Amino acid sequence: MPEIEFLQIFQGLATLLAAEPVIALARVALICLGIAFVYLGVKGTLEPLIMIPMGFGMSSVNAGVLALSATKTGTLFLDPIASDPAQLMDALQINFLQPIYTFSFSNGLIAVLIFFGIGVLSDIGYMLISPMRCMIIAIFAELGTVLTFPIAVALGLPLNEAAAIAMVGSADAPMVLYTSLLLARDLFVPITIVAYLYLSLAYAGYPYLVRLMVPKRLRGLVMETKSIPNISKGEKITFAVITSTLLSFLFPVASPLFMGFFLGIIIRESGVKPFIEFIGGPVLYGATFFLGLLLGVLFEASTILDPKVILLLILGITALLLSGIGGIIGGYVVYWMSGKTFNPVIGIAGVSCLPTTAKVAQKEARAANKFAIILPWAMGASVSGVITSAIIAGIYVSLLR
Amino acid sequence: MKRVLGERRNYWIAGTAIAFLGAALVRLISPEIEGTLGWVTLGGGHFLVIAGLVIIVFGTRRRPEDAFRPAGET
Repeated sequence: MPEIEFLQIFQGLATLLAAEPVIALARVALICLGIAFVYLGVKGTLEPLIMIPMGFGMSSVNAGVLALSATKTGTLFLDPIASDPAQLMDALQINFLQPIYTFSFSNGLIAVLIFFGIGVLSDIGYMLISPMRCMIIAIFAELGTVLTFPIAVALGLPLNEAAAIAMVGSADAPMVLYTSLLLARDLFVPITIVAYLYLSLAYAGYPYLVRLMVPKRLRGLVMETKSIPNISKGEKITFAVITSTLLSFLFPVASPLFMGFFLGIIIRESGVKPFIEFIGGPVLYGATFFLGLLLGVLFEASTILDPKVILLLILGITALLLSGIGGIIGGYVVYWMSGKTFNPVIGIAGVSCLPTTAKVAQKEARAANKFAIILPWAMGASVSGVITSAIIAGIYVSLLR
Repeated sequence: MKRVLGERRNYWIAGTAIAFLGAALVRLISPEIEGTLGWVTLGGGHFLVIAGLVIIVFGTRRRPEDAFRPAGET
C-alpha cells in the first residue's frame, strides 16, 4: 500500500507550510480576519451587505492556495495582474471569478452600476428644498478629501496615490474604487478595502463625533417642516439633465459616474417601475455582492505585506475623521447663517455615505429630542455630498492622471 | 416649458445659459489662451458654471404659503 501524504491531500495546508513564514502568518491572519468580518457582518456591527461576501472571499482565497506547477503557487479565483491577451485568455478559462473581474471590476463598470442604484434610491428633491444650505454643508464635508491630500504627500506618497487615498474622505466607496482604479491601479485593492472597512465603522463612530461636537440642546433643535416645498418631477429631471451635462463637460473623466448617478435619478423620477425595481434591486445588490466578494478575493497575503498599507490605514481614518469634523463645522455655519433655526447635526450628513450618515443625523437628533425631524435636510446634504465628491474626484483625476 | 418648470422658468433658462457659457469657457476657450489670461478664463468659466447652477436652484424656491401645493399649480 502506498504511503499516504496528508499534505498532498490538503494542498492548502501544504502551501501554507511551504510558504515563507511571513506569508504564512499573513495568510492565517487574513483567514481569521475574514471570519471576523463575516461574524461582525452577520451580527450587524459592520455593514453586512459588503462585509459578509468580503470576509468570506478573504478567508477562502487565503486558504485555497494550491500548487499550480512545480515552482508556482496560486488560486483558482482570479489573477489580478494578468494583462497580456494570451495570459488573460488562459485566466478567463481557468479562474472562476476572472470574467467578472476583467469585464466589470477593472474597468470601473461595477462602480458605475452601484452609482445607478444610488441614483435610483436618491430623491434629489431633498437637495432642492434647500440647495444652498445643502451645498455649503457638502463643501465643508469635503475637508478630509482636500486636507488628506497634502498630508499624504508630506508622508511620502506620490501625488496620484495621495489623491486616491484622500478620496476615502468622501465616504463614497464606489467613488474611491473608481478614482483609485484611474489614479493608483497598484494600490486600488488596499485603498478600496480601507474605504469599505472604515465606512462600515463610520456608522458606529460618527454618532460619538456628533455628540462630542454638538451639545444636546442643539442636537434636539426642532426645524420648521411646514415650509418644505414640493419639487415637481419636471424640475428634478431638468436639474439632473442640466447638472449631469455640465459636470460631464467640465470633468469628462468622471462622466461615467455623473451619468450613472443622474440617470438613476431620472429613472426614479420618470416612474418607470420595471427599471426602478431592476436597478434598485438586482443591479444594485448584485453589484454590491460581487464588489464585496471580489475585494475579499483580491486581499491576499502579499497585498497587506506592502508597507504602504499601514500608511493607507492611517490616512483613511484621518480623511474620514476630518470630513466628519468639516461636515459638522458646515452644519454650524448654516446654523448661524439661518438665524439659529438650522440643526447643526445635519452637517454630518454632508459626508456622502448615502443614506447612512443621514440616518445617523436623524437618529442623533431624535435621541436628543423625540420631536426633532431633520431627515429631509439630511438626505439633501447627503445627495449634495455625492455630487461634490464626484466633482472633487473629477478634479483629482483630471489634474493627476 | 411653463408646465414643467413652473412660474420661475426664467431662472432655469438664465442659469442654464450662464452655466453652459462657463463650460464653453473652460473646455473650448481657455485651452486656446496661454498665460495669465488663460487661467483667468479657466477660473471664470468654473465660476460661471457654479453661478449658473445657483441661479437654477433659485427656480425651485417656493414661498412658505406654497409649501405642499403641487408644483406648477399657481
